[in-house]
Amino acid sequence: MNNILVGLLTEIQKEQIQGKEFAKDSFFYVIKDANNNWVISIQEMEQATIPPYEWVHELPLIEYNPKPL
Amino acid sequence: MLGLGLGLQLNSYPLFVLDPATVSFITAAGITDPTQINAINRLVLNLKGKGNLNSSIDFFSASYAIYPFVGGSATAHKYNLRDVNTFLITYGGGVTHNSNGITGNGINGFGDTFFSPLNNNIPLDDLGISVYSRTSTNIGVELGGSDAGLTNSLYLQTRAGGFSVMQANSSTFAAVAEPTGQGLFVAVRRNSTSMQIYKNGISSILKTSSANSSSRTASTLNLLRQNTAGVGTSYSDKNLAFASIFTVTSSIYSDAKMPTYYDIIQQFQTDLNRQV
Repeated sequence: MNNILVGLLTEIQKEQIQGKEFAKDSFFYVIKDANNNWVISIQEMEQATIPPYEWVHELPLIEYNPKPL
Repeated sequence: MLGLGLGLQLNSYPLFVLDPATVSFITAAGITDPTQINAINRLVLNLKGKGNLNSSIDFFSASYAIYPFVGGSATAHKYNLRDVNTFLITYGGGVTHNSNGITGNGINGFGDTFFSPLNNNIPLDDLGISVYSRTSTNIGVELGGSDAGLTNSLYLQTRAGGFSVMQANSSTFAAVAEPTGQGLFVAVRRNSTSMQIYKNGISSILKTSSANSSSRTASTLNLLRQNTAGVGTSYSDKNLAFASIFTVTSSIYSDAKMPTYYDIIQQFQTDLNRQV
């Protein structure tokens, strides 16, 4: 996948949001990329409306590098 | 006044008499739009064998889960039309919800149905799953669960790498070239030695060699990805406007009835102006 951007999280941020509800009936699902970065999708960043997780709107963006199967 | 079997009048707009399953669903999902309500009701009546397209076959009762993805939100899209109290979907990651249904991102978006082929006792050799895809992308699993190493899998890919692919309680797969990935795709197993994929009511492959059933996975079926023993793989970026899980039950989801099933689902999509 080229030019797909994702939000970069620290380890602490990942612990703060993993599995938490970011919008009604929608839950964060943090994954690791091929460089062992914790990342979430643009969709989660854009759709997050439930406090206190609005800060994900400001996450730094990196290019998505998927883990090989 | 909304009620069991009563006619609904909304702003003097005459609507059909609502089936109890329709009432349950729209109440749970919070659906108030008359167009959506009428579409759901026609879907229910047709699936139950009481409608204009189907007056004899009860597809509805043979289903474990029917997901119409109507309402435009994760809350509305989590409900199971067959029974609003069972197999509600939990959405994780980046799934987009709108009037066209649910759309994956190919990265981490999925919906867990919590339906386990093993634990919910779907028959080993008498089952099926279906999805209605509106997009022609070329990656991912649209509905799937598996043991490690793709053994004992139940999944359906409408189009990945240029092929429709399925496994049905098996460790072997059936695949057929697929140019678009758009439409109603149904994967069925009717016996221990064959698997079959239908596109828009027409059989696209009946595999009768290396197609034996093996065992059922305990992994729950996930939408928009493969759930491989709790690990998410093969994320899909398709837009899905319907999904279902059912037992074939020989005379119901038979080969001869597949065009009727397609007509019902296609009518539903047309009623919502999202047909492909």
